[in-house]
Amino acid sequence: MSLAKAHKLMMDVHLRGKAIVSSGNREKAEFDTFRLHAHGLWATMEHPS
Amino acid sequence: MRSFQRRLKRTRKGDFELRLPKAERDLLRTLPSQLREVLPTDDPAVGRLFPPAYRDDPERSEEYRRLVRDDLLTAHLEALEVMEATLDATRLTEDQLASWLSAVNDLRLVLGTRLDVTEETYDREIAKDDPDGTAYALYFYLGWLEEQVVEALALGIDPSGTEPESRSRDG
Repeated sequence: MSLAKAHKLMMDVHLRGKAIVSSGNREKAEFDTFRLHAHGLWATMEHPS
Repeated sequence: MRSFQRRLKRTRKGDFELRLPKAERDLLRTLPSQLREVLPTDDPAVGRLFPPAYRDDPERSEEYRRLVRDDLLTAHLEALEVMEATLDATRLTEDQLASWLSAVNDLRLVLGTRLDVTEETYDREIAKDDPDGTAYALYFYLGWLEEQVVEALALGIDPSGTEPESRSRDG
């Protein structure tokens, strides 16, 4: 991820309360969520219904 | 002013000089054991480190929680251990500093949750006789330190970097 992209995602979280940082199947989403949780970040998953 | 000098400096070799005054090391030294004690409990403040994984699906959140709870606990504990073991270090590797980032952030989040910190907390003056005054001071100190860690680590990012082809578990 480039510094500019990281900065944009950070600003989305700051101003809009959230940002989409990853998408994919459930296994990938849960793995990425785990990594974010391990760093104390508040990540949640949503699935299209 | 000396007290606001940078605490971290990236070296040419890619590791980091840790320039913490003794008073700050001694303060930080008191913290990991306190968090380690409450981490495995269901203290509400610790819940912030084990957030629900699905926004609108308690059932899947519970399933996910059962699956990863132990690994997540281990990850938080390992970060605290690295920080504790390197509290007197004057040099840190990038991996060690990444652990510091996790540990300092965890400490800050749990303290902030206890103090019920909100956006407004940043705007109002903390009264001199506020019984939580010391805790607020610690909270803001941890945030200040964390910012320096993030900035030091960010210097290592290639500004035009691209998505890595494969992801590693500790990446």
